[in-house]
Amino acid sequence: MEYETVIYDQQEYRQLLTRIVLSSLGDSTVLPIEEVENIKLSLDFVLKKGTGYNNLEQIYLNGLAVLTRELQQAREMYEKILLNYKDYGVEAIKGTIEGFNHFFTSYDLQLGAHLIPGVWIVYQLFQAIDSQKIKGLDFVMHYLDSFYIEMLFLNQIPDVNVLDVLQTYSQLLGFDYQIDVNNIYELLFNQVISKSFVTDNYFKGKTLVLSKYEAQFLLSNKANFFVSCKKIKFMQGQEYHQKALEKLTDKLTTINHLDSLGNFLVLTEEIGKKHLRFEPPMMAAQYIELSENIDHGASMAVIARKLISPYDIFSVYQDQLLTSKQFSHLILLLESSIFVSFVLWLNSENHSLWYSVEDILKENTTNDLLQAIRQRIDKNDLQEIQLLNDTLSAFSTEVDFF
Amino acid sequence: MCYLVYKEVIIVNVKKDLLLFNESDTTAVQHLKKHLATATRKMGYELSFTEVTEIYHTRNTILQENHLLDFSLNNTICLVNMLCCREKRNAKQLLDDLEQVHTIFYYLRSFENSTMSDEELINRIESVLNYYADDFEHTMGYFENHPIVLKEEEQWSMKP
Repeated sequence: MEYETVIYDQQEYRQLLTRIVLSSLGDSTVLPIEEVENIKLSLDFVLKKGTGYNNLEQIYLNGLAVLTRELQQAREMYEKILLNYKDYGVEAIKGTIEGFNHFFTSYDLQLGAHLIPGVWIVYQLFQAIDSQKIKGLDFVMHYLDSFYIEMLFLNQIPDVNVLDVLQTYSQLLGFDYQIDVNNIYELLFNQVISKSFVTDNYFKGKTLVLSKYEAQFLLSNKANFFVSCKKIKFMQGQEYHQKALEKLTDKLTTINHLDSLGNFLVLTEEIGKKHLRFEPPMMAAQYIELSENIDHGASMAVIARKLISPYDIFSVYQDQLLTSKQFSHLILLLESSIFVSFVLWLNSENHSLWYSVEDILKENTTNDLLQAIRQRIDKNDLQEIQLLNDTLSAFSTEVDFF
Repeated sequence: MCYLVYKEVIIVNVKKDLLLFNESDTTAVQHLKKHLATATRKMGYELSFTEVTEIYHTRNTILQENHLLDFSLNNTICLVNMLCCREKRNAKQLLDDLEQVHTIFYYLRSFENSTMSDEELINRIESVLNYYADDFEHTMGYFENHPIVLKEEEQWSMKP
């Protein structure tokens, strides 16, 4: 939408402008130059709305009438949006939409028809509107109309699914969607359309997050994507959605790998990718100090407090710094989390044969180490056994074949 | 683009302003001369055409410096009236002093003083002038320190 340049009769134009400027004067006859220029821009805006008359005064009045009618339409649209929109906890949506309220109370057709008082667009639409080119009420109508289309689309999707996508999106990208999201419509549109491409059921589907297999299917069939998506029912006659589909198709054609797909589609996180790192062993000097302390008869509690790495605990056992009785006493004194990590570490050294506490108790071989661990388990600290069970079943460390 | 409109000293006649909107500089100066004559007559002289033209051009320069437009000559006339009611001065002094108060007036107008009418601002300048006994430098200095004129301060109360 571009404004054309119209040339008016200079004399008439000046008279009209003068009249408006003078009517704007209050207790003072002085006005800043910018304000007069603003009034001129406002007049130009109104004149471009009015057409079909030769007399400039009539064009102006006609323009005012057109604008008044459009303002009413925009207000109705705004009320419809206010009743139906959901902000999904996104501050930007709420703030932007509420800002329009101020616009409708303070929009001035006489002196600022080309301005948008109170409107502060923080939430960008899928099709951003250039406020330099589209001004005043035109801008507001354009924004509200587009927002309405996006809103109707989003309202068809159950809230649970929208929030599910947004949460996953936040987790994957490591930021809070409530603060940093650009446009929810585009995000959700991409999910819905891709999901309906790989399965038949859209909108009412269980989740809109694509699984790895679905993503792979999408990628290998991307040649048919545009044509088959165009036929989907909700796309029919919707120019706005067509544009979104074109944009998505453009993105799809440029990528060849599953990883890049994750840049604009929300995919489920891969399972089994959790990494664990054990606390590294203490420095050699510290270890020597520790062994000297043991030689000088330091209490087990003090030593237990110093041992935080499973490597160190094992070294203490291996170097036989302690008698087997002392060692099992030490194991009993360890903190819960350190004990669990020690068992997990032992398990990884033993090719991950343990999957639960029972496996440890069933173990046939009897050495001092195992005895000490069993002794601790026999203490029957339920919370700790639960933690140990959970940890053993959740983490399997990779088996080294060499 | 600089439009000029004048208003009658007391009656604000929008219709008349509209007619005079595109008047030339000469007409403006003549209008100004006619109205200033009444004020200066008290002091026993009348300003010449050249002198009034000088006043008019100084006013326009000050407006430009402050990025303002004044749609009336009323303010200039009021300022001259205000000066003439004070101590007697000759034409040369009057022109110099008028430039000073013009500067102060439009300086104040360029700030956020939209709640104050032109008349209120002129009254304020007068009361500060009274306090400093027509010392223009001190008056200007005062307004530079207090560019925002507040209604609550309407009663001039600077006790020495």
